Amino acid sequence: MKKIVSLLLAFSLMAGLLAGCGGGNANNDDQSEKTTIDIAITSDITTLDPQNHNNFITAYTTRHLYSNLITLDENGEFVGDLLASFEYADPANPVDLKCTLKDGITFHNGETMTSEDVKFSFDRLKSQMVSHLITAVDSVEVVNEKEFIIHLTGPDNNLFGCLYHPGAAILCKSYVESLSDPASELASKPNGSGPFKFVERKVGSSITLEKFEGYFDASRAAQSEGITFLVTPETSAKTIALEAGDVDMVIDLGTADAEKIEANEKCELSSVTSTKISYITFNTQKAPFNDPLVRQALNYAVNKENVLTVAMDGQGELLNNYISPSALGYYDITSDYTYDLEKAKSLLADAGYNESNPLTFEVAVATDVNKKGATVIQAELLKIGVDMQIKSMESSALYADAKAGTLDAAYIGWGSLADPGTTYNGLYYSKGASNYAHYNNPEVDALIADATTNADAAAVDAAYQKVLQTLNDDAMWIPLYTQKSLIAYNKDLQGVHNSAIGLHNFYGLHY
Amino acid sequence: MHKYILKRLLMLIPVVIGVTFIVFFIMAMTPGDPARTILGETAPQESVDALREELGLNDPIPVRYLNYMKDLLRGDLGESYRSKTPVIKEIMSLYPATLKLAFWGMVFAVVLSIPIGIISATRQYSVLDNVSMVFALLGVATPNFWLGLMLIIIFALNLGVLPSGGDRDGWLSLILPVITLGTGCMASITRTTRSSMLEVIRQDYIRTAKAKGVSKKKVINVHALKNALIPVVTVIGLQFGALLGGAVLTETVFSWPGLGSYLINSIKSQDTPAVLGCVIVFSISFSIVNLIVDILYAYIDPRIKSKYK
Repeated sequence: MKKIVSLLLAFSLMAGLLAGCGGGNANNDDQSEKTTIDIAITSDITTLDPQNHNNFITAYTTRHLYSNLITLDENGEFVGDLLASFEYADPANPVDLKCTLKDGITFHNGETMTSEDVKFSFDRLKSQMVSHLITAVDSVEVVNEKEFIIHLTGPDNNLFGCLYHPGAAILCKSYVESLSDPASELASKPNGSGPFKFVERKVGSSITLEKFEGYFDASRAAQSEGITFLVTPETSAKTIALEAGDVDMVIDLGTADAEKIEANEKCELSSVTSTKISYITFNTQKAPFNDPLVRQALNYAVNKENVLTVAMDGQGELLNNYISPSALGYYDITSDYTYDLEKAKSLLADAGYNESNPLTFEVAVATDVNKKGATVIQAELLKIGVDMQIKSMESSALYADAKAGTLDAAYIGWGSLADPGTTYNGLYYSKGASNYAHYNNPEVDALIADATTNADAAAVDAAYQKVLQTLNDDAMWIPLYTQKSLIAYNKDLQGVHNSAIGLHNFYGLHY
Repeated sequence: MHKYILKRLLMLIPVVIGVTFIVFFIMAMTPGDPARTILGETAPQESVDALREELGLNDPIPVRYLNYMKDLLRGDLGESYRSKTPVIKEIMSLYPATLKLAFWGMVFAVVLSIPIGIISATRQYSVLDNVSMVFALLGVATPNFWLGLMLIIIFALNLGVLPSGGDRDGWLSLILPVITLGTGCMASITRTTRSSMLEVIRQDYIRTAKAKGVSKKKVINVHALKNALIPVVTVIGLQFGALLGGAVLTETVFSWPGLGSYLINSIKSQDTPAVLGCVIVFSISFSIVNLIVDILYAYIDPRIKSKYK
């Protein structure tokens, strides 16, 4: 009996001690003194070398350490970041882009940026992981310390989008050349000209940046003393960390947590229609989807509202196009694919499918979200006698099979970047690396090629619009929905920027 | 004994060769393109092809394996496909965190399990025994993932006394992941201690000691416990080895920067050098843990020591 009482007292004492030494930020309502911002990210970065990665999480860090020649303003227009001015020498033949750097640009080590740094960066980029960004660039000609000319191999309307990509950041030539092993050292010792400079990285745990006092653009200078990105892989744990006050912001909030955050008076939710779309792609070279009637029929048979509700908890917009309305390169088209089961059955009958000869096919999915959506579609298609089997696969295996043309259909997604060319050439061009529909239309190929090089903006718009309309009429996919970019943050945090592309700006964050 | 230890350490070589052989070929034959996974869907095929060439992915699989083994013999675990950083550097920065978590998880489990197992055995069928067994069962049945999230909600969100994750708050950051990880092990250690003790305390020499008037405490702690510990030590060794490689869920829930999460991300990205590096480290760790367990046998039971030659 005595022992039991002693044990109980010991536990009470421990509980009291624990209650006394709580975590510093736990449920802390007053953040007004906080000068650094903690942001929860889903996974660790891969490198701090901007020219050797192509993922968004890593870009959160590198694009705040480095600067690009060009950026996007709030209206979605390309404006100078490092450049004071940029214009083609001959607009009718846009192959020579004359550029002038802004004044007072310094790197974090104090070196002043010159045209030589730009030339060096482009020359190095040609042999790095994201060299595809400057395929159109032939050479960079240094005119003087501030002026240079980018010579292109031919007109390329996607150039500005590529120059905006984090991989096209400008490096410090003297610094990189001073490293004994640049390929390895630049991955951990960055020296950029961005609003923040590097402090430390704990692999798998966090990346800490601090404000760079010598940043050249006062309007975009860091408003906080620093940012720490905290690697928080588990979706629920991210939300709990925000609610507990352990972090100030959560990027890529889980859709299931959106309502919870909205109901929490200590938090705010920013929701923007992103450039990420989800769709079912058909293999247009393989039966039954080599028949456009079948593809069109299924476009009438899917209730997209239900799919969005189940797959994304309603966090998205219905999509009746082949690109997100938030993406550069979006154009309105006419799409008659409403939810009409009778029309779907009629088209299937015309294609030779009926009760005695039912349509059966397999759709591959790689994520739990897509599996949920596919389950809804499966139930919808059963109403018109179509048997859709769902095949769960590992992501890289799915894309390998889709590329090889062995799948009937796949439920996948795509996120557009700042240059339409990546989307159009990747998805719709017959030899596009991501054309998993194996769609081959010479007219579409010609339109895309023309849009890439045509100097007439109106002609480019018309060409892209025609591509989208053709794809819609041919029913290459079943476009389903556009995803929302969800950012949750402490209600007192100011300066939150939510980019549709996913390249959020954090320099404005402050309490 | 020293010869025995040296022999066991030399046996690590065929273990490493065998493990790398199996894992390398599984990774190589897994569908998907690591270069495409690293560059993402938006990269053009030319960039993917160039990266494949740079990473040596176009070479025949046996050639790639031989090149890897040649580097391994020089102590070079290669560079991560994703980060282009030496794998050994990344592993050495993450492994101590996994080791720390596994160690304290095991300490938590052992400190609670062995006394509970002893008490359950000495008071068999009592209320305490039944309650202990129920908790042991709950411990093994409760998903690690769920337990971790519940602890975070209770202690971090509702009470606000502990951090919700990460490793920024010193020893406070360890408490919840250690409890989560240790709870899963407690069940098997408790049950093994209990059944082993039950078997030992029924032996004739224990009855003799009691008949001679030896105190109950001395009978248990001096005469019974040591003999009962051998199977318990075996289970602890196996559990610790499993914890080293299996703390992935706990590391993920608590954003603990360990090797488990790194391994999972490497597998998803088909980052073969990183996966192989992790597998080598885990298999060497597991072998060393088993060796320590075998050495402990010799100290617990001197009869075993003479067999280690």
